Amino acid sequence: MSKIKNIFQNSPISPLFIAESITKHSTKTEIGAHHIFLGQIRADKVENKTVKAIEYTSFEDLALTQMTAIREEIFAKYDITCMHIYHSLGVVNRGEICLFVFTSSKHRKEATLACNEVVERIKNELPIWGKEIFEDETHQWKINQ
Amino acid sequence: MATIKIISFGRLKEILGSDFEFDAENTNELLNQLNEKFTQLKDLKLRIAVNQKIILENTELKNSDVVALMPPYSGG
Repeated sequence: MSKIKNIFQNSPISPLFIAESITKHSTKTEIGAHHIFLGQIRADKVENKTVKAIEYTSFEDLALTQMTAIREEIFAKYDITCMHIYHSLGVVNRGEICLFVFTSSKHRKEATLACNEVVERIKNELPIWGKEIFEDETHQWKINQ
Repeated sequence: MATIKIISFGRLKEILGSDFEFDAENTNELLNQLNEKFTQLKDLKLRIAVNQKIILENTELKNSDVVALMPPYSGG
């Protein structure tokens, strides 16, 4: 298996970091298409309470091993130039970004398909848990749709 | 009988608390015993990993195995 790369950041993903990631690709002139997915914390309402943040935890070692296998499968399946993935751990407030997936390819179709598939697989296969914290400091455990 | 370490995550960690040691021969026996001890576990779906490998069937346990109990994932 290839080298294990970290995907976790102990903070929200900053828009500046996303912009810098895009900028770094300007020298890779074989790329003709980028596809970016950004997950943002939504202020869900449950009965009378509103989500103010999600606190993420993970079984990090297992998540990174799984992610490495997923990454290899995606590269084998799609003709993409590169793929970058960042997921937040800890508290991320509503309106902030918690997931950043960035795929690039020669033509748009491959980047789009690869990005969509990897987002689904991150949500379904990585041992990460979101605790939805309400404004009154009570919480419930997030369930992925 | 093996003495193993149990680690848990998310909602399961709220129920089971911090990591602890436990005696069990295999994963089925472990789950039965935990269900008796922690009745809130009953209705929870969980995934099990032994030494970071997800297992789908009953698995024999050895001394110092690390058994991870994981509720449904909710990343992203």
